[in-house]
This record gives sequence, C-alpha cells and structure tokens, in this order.
Amino acid sequence: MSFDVRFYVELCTLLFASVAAILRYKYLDWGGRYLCFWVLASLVTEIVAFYTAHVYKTNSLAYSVFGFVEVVLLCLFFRSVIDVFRRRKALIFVAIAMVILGLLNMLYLQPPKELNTNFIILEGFLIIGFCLFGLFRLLLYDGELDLFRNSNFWSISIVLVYWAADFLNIGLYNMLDRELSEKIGFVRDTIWALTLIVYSALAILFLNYRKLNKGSE
Amino acid sequence: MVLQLVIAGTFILTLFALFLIAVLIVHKNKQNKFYAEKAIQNYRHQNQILAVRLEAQEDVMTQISRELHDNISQLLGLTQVNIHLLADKTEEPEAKRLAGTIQGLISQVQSDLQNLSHSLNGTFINNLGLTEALTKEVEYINAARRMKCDLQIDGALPELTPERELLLFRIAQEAVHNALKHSGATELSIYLGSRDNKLHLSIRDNGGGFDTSDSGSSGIGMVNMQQRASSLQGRLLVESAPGRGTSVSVVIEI
Repeated sequence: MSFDVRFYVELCTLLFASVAAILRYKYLDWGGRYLCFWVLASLVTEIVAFYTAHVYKTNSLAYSVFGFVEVVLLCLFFRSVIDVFRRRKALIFVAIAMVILGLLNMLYLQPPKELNTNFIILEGFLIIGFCLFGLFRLLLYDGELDLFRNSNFWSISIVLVYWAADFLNIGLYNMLDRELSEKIGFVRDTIWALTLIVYSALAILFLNYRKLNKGSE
Repeated sequence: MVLQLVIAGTFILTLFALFLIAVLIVHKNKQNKFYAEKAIQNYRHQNQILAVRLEAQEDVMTQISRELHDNISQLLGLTQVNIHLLADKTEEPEAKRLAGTIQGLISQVQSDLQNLSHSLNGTFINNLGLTEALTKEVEYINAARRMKCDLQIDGALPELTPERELLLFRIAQEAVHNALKHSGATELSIYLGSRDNKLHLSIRDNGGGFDTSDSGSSGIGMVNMQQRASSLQGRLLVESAPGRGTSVSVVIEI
C-alpha cells in the first residue's frame, strides 16, 4: 500500500472520529472533551505531516510538536478522569515539566529533523503509568460501578491499549529506521493499523458517550 | 533480532494491557455482585425488623382489645346491673329517670368499647376478612355520626393471606383515624379494587388537607403506614394540599 493511500485511509478514520467528537461535544464531560481535542490535534498533525513530508521530505517536526500538545492534553484528560487528581494541580505541573524536558531534548539531544523518541519514551511511561493508576482507582471505587457503562473506563482503556501497543514501535522508531531501514515498513504498517483501530474505537466511544454516562448515573 | 524483540515487546505490552483490563472487569463484576447481594440481605434484614415491630404492635393492640373486652366491658356491665338495682330501690321519679339515662350512656359506652375492641383485635379482623372488616369500620364511623363514610368495592378481590389483609386494614384504619382526628372532613370514601394484577386501596376525605412538603406533617401514624406498605412490598402515596382534602392510597402486587 502506497504512502498516499495509507494517509487517505488514516485521514478518513480521523475525520470520522473528529466528526463524531464534534457532533457529541455537548454531551462530553471534560475527560471526553480533552480526548476530542486530542483527536482534532491528531487530524491537524497528520495533514501537516503529509504536507511537510511531500515538500520538505521529513515530517519529524510535526510529530515532535504534536508530542508536546499530546502530553498536555492527556495530562488534562487524566486530571479529569482520575478522582484523586481532580482538585489538584499536580498534573498541570507534570505537563509543564514534560514540555520543558521535550524542548531541552529537542535543543540538546534530538534536533527537530529527527523524531524526538527520547521524549516519546518518557511520555509513554508517563501515560501508561497514569492509565494503570486510573484503572487502579476504578478498582478501588467503593460501590457498584458498571464498567461497561462507564465512559472513563473505556477512554482510559483505549489510551492504554494504544500506548502499550505503540510504545516500543514509536519509541524505538529512530533506531529501527537507522539499523533496519529495509524492515521499517512493517513498523510503519503496525503503527498505522493500530492508529486506525484506536481512532475508530474513539469514534464509537464519542457516539455512545451520552448513553454510557446516562447508564452509569 | 532487534525487530523480533520489538515485536515481542509490543505483543507482551499489549497483552499485559488487555489482561489488566480483563482482570479489572472480572473483579469489578464480582464486587458488583457482592454489593447487590449485600443490598438484598440488608433489604431482607430491614423487612424482618419491620415484621417483628409490626407483630409487636399487633400484640399490644390485641392485649388492649382483650383488656377492654374482658375487664372494662365486664365492669361496665356490673355497674349497669348495680344502677338497675339502685333504681329499683327508689321511688323517686327523678332518680329513676337519671338511672335510665346513665344506663343508656353505659350501653353506648359498652357498644363503642365493643367496636373498639373488635377494631384492635387482629384475630377478629382476620376471621372477618378485609372486606367485611372495612364494612364494619364504615358502619362504626357512620354510627358515630361524625362524618359520612362510604365504602366502594370494585370487582372480585383476590385472595390475600390473613397477614396481608390485616396490614391493609391497619393502613386503612390509620388513614381513617387521621381523617377523623385532624382533617375536619365531613365525607370520607374508601375504595378497594383490583386491576392490572394490583390491589388498590384508597382513603379519600374532603377535609382541610395539609402541605405534604412540610416535614412536620409526617407523624408516627404516617410512618406506621409507610412501614406497613413496605412490609407488603407495596407503594404508599399520600396526596394532599391545604383546603383540598387528603388521599392516602396503597398499591400492592397480587
């Protein structure tokens, strides 16, 4: 499958998720809204990345910048969905610290022309950690809780599966590209397929958000 | 080799994430089941406590009923005989007239006591059955001439256990008692009927009514009715507004 075809399929999935998120925006809680901004940011990033790949032959900068936006939005998302963080500013400080670390990484370790995998690995640890903590908090919830009708459970699970599956692929992307350039297509295809699954799952989540939250009231 | 490691690592991480999610779902389902069972146990326990409380109330009422019938009523009978003897020993016409009046009053008190004794006696009500007991209750109210009371029985009523009939009767009795005591009503109607596999009992008066949102309006009588309705696994509805009378209805599954 060519790069262009893959891009258009991914764009369609992202558009589907974005339209679903916008259509259901008023029914979303703040956790859902941050996920909606994340999907919209992904859509913009993919379009910019496609354009820069054609014009400048590299799209690393687009993905690097997206990494900063992503970490801020996901920290705000976790602040909304994990009960212990709701009235605390800890995750805002974590987001600021991550952006500073990312900028330092870009200035001193990985220049903008290559993907900031150091930052992505750190971001991956952080996000997987918060996902596990979020699920742990749901486990500790003292009372009846129907997980299948809980939007927080679904959103955290989607983010966890996405990052668990993509963590090594994206985190080691530069190394794989350098040492196994003939097989990097396989890694790209894996990331691409996973992205399609995650954005489709998010679209379904957005479309059912109202029903889910109504059921858990 | 590196690629294989990355693939293996990715698989392990993904499986780990999915495993964790599955564990969470299984654990939470178990927890939900536990909470549901606990709620059912609590409900059963509350019902048992309620049943014991209501049984104790019934025992007290039966004791009072026996006391009224076996002691006070007998004493009144004896008093009446003595007054009769006293009247026979006097030639004074005014004294004879007074003795007659007192005997009449004692007869009235005896009759009222007998009615009260019957109303309080659960065994007597169980022997009569709900419909007959309500009919008697209406007769007592009309005989007292404090208000006009009518009973409407709609269609064939289902067979209920004596315990359930007694609980329903006590709810009606409490509502009637409240209407007599507080409402200032001139008319009272009692409806008993069954439809859609449910038994409906309602007591409606045309009295002064009250504000149901006022917390002071739910006295012991109201609490007793609520408890009895919940013991019947039924629903008690009290509708009232100042100047618009009061309606107490209870609906139970047959």
